[in-house]
Amino acid sequence: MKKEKTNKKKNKHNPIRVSKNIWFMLRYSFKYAPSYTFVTLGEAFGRGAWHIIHVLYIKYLFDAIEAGVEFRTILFWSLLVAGYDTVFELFNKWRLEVYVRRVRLILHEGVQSELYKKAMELDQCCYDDPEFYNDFIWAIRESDSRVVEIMEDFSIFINRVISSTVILGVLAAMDWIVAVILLVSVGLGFVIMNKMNKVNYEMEEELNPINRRLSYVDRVFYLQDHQKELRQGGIAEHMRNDYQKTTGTKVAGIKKYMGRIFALNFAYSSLLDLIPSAGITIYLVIRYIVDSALSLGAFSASITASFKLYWMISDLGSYLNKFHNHSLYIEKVRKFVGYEPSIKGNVTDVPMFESLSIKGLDFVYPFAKDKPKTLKGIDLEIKKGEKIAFVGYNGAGKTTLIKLLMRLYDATDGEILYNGRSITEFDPGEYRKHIGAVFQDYTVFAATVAENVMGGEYTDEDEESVMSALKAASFDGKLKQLPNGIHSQLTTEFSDEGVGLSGGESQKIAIARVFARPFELIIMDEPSSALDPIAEYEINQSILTNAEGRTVIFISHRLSTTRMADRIYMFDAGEIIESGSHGELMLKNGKYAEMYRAQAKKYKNQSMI
Amino acid sequence: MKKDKKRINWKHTFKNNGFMLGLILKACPGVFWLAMIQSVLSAADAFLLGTYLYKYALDALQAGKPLKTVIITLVCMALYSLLYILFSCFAVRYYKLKYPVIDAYIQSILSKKASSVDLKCFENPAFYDTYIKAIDSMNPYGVMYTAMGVISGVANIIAVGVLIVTINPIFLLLALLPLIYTLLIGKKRNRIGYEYDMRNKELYRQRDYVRRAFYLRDFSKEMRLTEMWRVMFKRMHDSISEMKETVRQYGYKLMFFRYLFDFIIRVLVGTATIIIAAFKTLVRKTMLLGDCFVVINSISGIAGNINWIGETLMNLDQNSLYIDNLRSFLEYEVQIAEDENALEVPVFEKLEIRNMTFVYEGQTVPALSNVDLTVNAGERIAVVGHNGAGKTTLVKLLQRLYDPDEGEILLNGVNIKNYRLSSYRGLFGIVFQDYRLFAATVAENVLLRGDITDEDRETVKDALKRAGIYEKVESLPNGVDSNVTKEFDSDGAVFSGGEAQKITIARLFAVKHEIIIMDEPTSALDPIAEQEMYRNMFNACEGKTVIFISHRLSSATMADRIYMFENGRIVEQGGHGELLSLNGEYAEMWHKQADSYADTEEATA
Repeated sequence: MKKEKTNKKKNKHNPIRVSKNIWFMLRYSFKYAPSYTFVTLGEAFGRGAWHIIHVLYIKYLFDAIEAGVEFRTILFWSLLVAGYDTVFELFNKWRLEVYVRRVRLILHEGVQSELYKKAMELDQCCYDDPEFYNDFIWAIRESDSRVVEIMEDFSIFINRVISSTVILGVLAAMDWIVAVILLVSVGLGFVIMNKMNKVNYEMEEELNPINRRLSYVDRVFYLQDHQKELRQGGIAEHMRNDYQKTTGTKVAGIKKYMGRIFALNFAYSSLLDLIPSAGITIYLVIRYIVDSALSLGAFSASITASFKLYWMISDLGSYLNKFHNHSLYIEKVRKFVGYEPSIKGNVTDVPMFESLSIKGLDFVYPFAKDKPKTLKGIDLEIKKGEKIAFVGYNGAGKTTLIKLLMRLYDATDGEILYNGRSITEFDPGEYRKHIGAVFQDYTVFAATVAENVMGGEYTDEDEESVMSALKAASFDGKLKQLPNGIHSQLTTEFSDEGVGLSGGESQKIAIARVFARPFELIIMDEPSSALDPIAEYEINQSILTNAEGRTVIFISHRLSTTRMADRIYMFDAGEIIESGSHGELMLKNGKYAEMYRAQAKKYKNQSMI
Repeated sequence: MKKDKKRINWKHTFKNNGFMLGLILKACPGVFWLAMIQSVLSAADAFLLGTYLYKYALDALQAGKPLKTVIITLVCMALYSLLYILFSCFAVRYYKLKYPVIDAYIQSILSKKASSVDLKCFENPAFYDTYIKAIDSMNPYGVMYTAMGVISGVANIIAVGVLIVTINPIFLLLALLPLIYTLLIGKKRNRIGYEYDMRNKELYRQRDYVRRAFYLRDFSKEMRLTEMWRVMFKRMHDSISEMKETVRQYGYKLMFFRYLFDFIIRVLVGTATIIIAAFKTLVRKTMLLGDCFVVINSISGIAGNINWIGETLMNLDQNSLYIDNLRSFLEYEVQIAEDENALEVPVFEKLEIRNMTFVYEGQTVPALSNVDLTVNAGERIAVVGHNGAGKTTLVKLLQRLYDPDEGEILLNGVNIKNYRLSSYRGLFGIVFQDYRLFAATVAENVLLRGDITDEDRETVKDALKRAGIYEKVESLPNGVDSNVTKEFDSDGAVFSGGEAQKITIARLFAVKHEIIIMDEPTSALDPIAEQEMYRNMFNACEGKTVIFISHRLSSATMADRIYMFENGRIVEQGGHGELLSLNGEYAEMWHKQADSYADTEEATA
């Protein structure tokens, strides 16, 4: 309970913090669209003037009618006011339909570019920290709409502040009691609104897990993934019953809060719907009759002004609320923008690969500190031109070691030496240019085949490398079927004509990546898991021929693939338990031999028939 | 297609919107009627406090009515408003409590339909796009609020309209101006807006993709290790440049139309009203001051209101489109349906496929052609072949997730279409290649149903043991009752790919099935686990019929008969030995896999 309280406090920002955060965001607009400030202020003052003109005009109009002023004079002033409206509206529509649309795009590009660049600097471990990752997703995903929304909200806020101050001045000059009544009722309204928000928030918090449950059940029924299982057994019925039951819980949950919400709602509506209209009218009627000095113009103008003011101030309240939400959001952005990457290095001149050695390396995932170490006391040595295999069961730590070699993480203890120098000395981007890696969970981007293979931008000079890399990954067969060859767009993300590849074909694209550039060290993490036997065989042959002279690290639990390695490292629970060539390890008759025989036996016995 | 139909089919549109309201009415009549009453009362409130109050006060003042009468009347009006506020607070309370019930009612109708429609619907992107999106965008409350708005709007227009007409009908004509504009030019304006959105839609999609590439974990490694981020930056820049171009092309047009409308409603109608009213009051002296005030203050409001209703009615047919889809989804006739009167499945003896051909909807090349295959009780059948040879399609047909286009499947000599669907499907225990776990307890995931009893728990434990995953489950805080996934339990168990697969395999052990089908059940397992799994599998299935599908041929050797598929056809069949000596496709595939192991044994021997 106590913990929850402090959490809640943390979620409440005081006005100073809110303004600092909003200021932080506004600076982006000064930076990328300086004219925006002027246009915004122009609109705010123009709108303020519009409000004063209208209140004064109404006063003039009715006073003039009452006093029987000549019609032509009234006509003159009316047309003048209409003229102002015409011009101001034109400016405003230009601002909304043309100017703001364009500024949105400019801001988008500027801000997103900054955020993306920062995202690229994030350490891989940030993705493992659920809290950071969630905040980070939120920061980026909403950045597009938020940044502009904050600017717009701020400009409306300025507009309201200016306009309502002006009207309040006019109103107070005409009848200060009306101004006081309005301020008091709106002030009370704020207090009630605030309370209501709190109750609603509390209710939402309580309903959150229930709603998540409901939306999960909903999703299950409509997602393609689950359809086959839903048609087996009674799980569909069970899910439906679950929905009904959860609905019952939800209604009970809402009921608990309904008493308070009802009371607050009633207080708020009667205060804010009745007082500015009926209340003030009754007051003015009495005054009009009692105090003969009040003119009809002043009466009408007071009513018009108090309506405007009431509406503007309650609107202002909702903006304060919005700013608070924005502030919570901006804090996430600032946390992310202020992140200092720990994986860095100064040496940009990385020499050609000669050797790699790992000394006494320990590793725990940064956000799994209470868990056992993923890698323990790893020592190994790789020389230029060697073919190395990492084998072992699922979860033995093979892939993790690759991530460390690629410097997606840094070792907890011990070190990795590249040509005898610790890899932490090198600039990670430059260092990685020497190593090509294919991961088990490869990604194919919504870009052309050529861009995917180059792992970056493609120019015509790269054509030969792309073609030979695809051939090496035995993708050339499929390539012939593609309408635009290597310029075919992959995935249907952007256009329906995009090519959808099967798992095996995508894997081949990922494999081609390491052949397209002259990497000196190639790492293949289960490169053939999605391929059928013939394709696997072809790929293995091709990797061997194409990687001739280069250094290769293979990871697989299909031992037929790794047999031909110069040296095999057998991993078990984060440690290297055996190492040597296939022959040596078989003679040793340890775990490797056991695993190997388990796989070979089935093929062997039957082949002898 | 929609564009050719220039005329709005009002009857159809009203029927569709009525259908949505009907759902609410059926689920909870109270909500529906309360909403209707509320809209009329709110119109009365708006009229009294927003318009009539001033007219009365000013007229009374000018006529010099006694202060007491005036104040009492005004207070009465305020009292009505207070009562209305009380009423609407009660209504809100009622809605809040009833909406979840309505949601549940609708969910139950839709989900029943969704889990009974043919699987092919879900695999057809067009079906998915139209129907599932229709369900997604379905908003019965939106339809209800629109109806409420229209009712209270019409009521308000009538009340204020009558008042204005009694003052001077010319003002009502002025109030109609914006609607006339909308009727004449609205269509063109909407089309330009639509074109603008369409032009940008694709570009938004690109922009969103780029954003995802920068924040999703899936992309994070490649983005760091390659230079794809440059490509993504370029994509963003290109799409934004194109969007700027669209703004240049459409911005001023949009501005023109929106400005014209605002000009009419604010400047033209407003100023004209004031000038005419002033003229009548001042020069002609045909209008009272109170009337003058009422007209000037209410004209923009009523003009906007009339226009809003006009536009809402015109746009009703846009909602109507998704309701069309929703209704045809609910009316979709299931082809492979449960028939209570059909045969119950007898004791399994023989399953025969005769000359079966199957083409996926929208494709021209058959996924399976002229397949003949027999499975006798107690046999172990292996189906092998390259990726895309039609193996998984065969399984779906066997399970009657689809029906063949040609040929037939016979169970004990009777076409499977003659058996009751759930009874027939109950024959099979299946592990799919793309297995899924539900966010439910382990036991529910294994039994694929709810209402777990203690007896069930024992069955589940036993099944998990045999699948080799019990140790892991036992280590969880709630054992077999632990929730799977963190979907709605932050302590929920997360299983690795291999572990999840073992749980789905446990399904086969937990429920007795006559025929077991394993579709690549070992793809996520390491070799030792794979071997163990097969051993368990065959022990557990002793005497049972097993069909297994794999491209790892090592497992095929355990089969009584092997069917080798290629391009949807059976190219070879027979025992492992027979097929090897045939020296055909199977043998070639076998040697490719086996050779890498075969010659090593000498080194160790």
